[in-house]
Amino acid sequence: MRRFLLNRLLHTIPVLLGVSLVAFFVLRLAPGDPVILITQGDATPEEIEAIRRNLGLDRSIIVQYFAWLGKVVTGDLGQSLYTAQPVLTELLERFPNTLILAASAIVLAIVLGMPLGIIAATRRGTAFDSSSMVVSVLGWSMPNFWLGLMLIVVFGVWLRWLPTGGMYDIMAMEPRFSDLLVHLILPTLTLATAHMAYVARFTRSSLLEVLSQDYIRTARAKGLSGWIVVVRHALRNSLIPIISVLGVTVGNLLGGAVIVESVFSWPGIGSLMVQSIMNRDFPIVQGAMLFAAVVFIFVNLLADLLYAVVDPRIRYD
Amino acid sequence: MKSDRSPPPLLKVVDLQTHFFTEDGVVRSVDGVTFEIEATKTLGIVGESGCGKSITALSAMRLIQSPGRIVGGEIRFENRDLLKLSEAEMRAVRGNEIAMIFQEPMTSLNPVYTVGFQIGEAIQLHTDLSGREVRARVIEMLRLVGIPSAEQRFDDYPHQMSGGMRQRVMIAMALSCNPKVLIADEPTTALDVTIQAQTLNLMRSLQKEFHTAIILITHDLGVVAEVADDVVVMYMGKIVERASVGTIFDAPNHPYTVGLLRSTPKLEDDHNDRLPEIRGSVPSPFSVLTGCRFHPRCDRATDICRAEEPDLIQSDSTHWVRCWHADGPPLQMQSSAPTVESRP
Repeated sequence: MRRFLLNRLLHTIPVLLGVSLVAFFVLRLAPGDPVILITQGDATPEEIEAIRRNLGLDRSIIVQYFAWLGKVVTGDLGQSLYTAQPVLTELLERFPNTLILAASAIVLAIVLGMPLGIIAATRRGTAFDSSSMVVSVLGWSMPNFWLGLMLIVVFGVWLRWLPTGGMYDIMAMEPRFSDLLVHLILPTLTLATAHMAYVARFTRSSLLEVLSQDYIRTARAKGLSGWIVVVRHALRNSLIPIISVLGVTVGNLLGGAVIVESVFSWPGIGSLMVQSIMNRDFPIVQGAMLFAAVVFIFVNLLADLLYAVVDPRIRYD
Repeated sequence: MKSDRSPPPLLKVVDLQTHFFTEDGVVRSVDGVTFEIEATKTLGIVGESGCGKSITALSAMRLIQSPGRIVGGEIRFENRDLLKLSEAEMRAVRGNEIAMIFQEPMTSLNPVYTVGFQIGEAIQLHTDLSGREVRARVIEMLRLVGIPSAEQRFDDYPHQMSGGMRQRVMIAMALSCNPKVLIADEPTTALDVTIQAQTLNLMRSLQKEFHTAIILITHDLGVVAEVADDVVVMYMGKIVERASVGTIFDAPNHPYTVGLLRSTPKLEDDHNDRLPEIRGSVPSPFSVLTGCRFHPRCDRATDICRAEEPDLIQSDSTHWVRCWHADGPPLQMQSSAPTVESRP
């Protein structure tokens, strides 16, 4: 077990190096100069040069990379070019918001998606099965920026039932939990729809495969009722592929739901990243990408460990 | 655990019909099967793959899955027709009064639960025993089926056991509630020969101890000779011959039974000779055959065989044969007899 963990941690090093390379160079190769954006074109060439030197942007790109990497290794992700705040502080400030949104979307996706998949599998070939699978294809193929906008138009603009964005009422004196819940509904729905559809489909197909196994017949031959057979004997065996899918999904969402956070002005890591890309705030974008990669790797490591909990045949020693 | 067994027959299957409704047509997997079994006796059901023997067994447990359906007949068990019970009533019979073990010990146990849990599950379901008593009973059963250090093996997962061990676990599970009937569907097919013998011996000794009736489904006539009291031979969903085990081996009267017996290798045979085989192969289950179902492969088929299906006729008190020529001259059994191949 310890060996497995150590091995996995060693494996993350080249992955993170790769991410750091991409994060660092892609944005710099793109057109746009942060200094111009900071000064908004309202500065003399001397001033611009001074700022550039100050920010360390006058050195060669390779030197910049290694300087940055050297700091990253010590845990220093640098400072925002705009707010001068440490990148890590900015990220950690936003992360709880991303966590709230991702967690509620994932919980909703599992709570609705898995039962849907289970019922579809146990009633294979019925109208319920085919209609739920049609709905899940729709859910999966709907672009979430479009779904988000539609929900905003219907529930925020026409019906005026729900706020169109943000996390709290901006007029409120202090953040209230009920306020948060109301603001959470639309982005959660938007984010959860596709994942719910995915979970439902995966649960269905995985369960169908398990339901045809010999040990399911054994369980039925014991006299167990249909639901106990499904829930106790089939579901646990069908969890492995579902956990793999959820591992990737959760990892992705925790790194920031870029589109949905932007559509709903949700102050999470995803919207921070979009903003920072627009502003060419290199350190923030690099930091956010690295952060997302670390979270992704960590969540998938957790998923791997979860396999062993679900299936005794999987052991890491 | 259960007392006062009712007088024989314990289980009586009458005109059972189980059909599969597929897109390509209806398959009459079991087509009017009738047999009975007395307490403590062993009935062998023999036939090639696809002859309907396993479907007969699953029907008796009412475990047929869509697109299959039991469309007719009766399964009388202790004066109840199992086909008329509600699903909940039937669940109380399954695993409790009629239990089943399957062909594939490697895949018949759930990989994610310990064997102890899986055996205990049935006991918990059908008895009022406490958790501790269930555990004790499971360990007792594991010992009975000859699993060494049963207490430690309780917490083993199936993948930590060999095939033979797993089949013992299956037997322990099936017998844990002391069923009156045990249906064993090819219980030794997937096992090594030495383990086969051990498993059969185990089943036999447990049968004596528990007074269980056993329905043994197999394609292996050696196994039948070893353990069965009565034998039913099935071909394409129908019984073609039914008799005591002695009669089946000494005086078989259906050409299919004879073919099966002749194609079983014997130690004293000359091993350079080609093993006799039954000519042709089983027709597609969708094919529409008039007359006797075996006639395309039968050496004594005549016009009537091709035109009309024979009934299962009782030739003496314990012998039934489905053949138009059952009264004809006895069929050749010696392996020196001309093989089917060499015939015109």
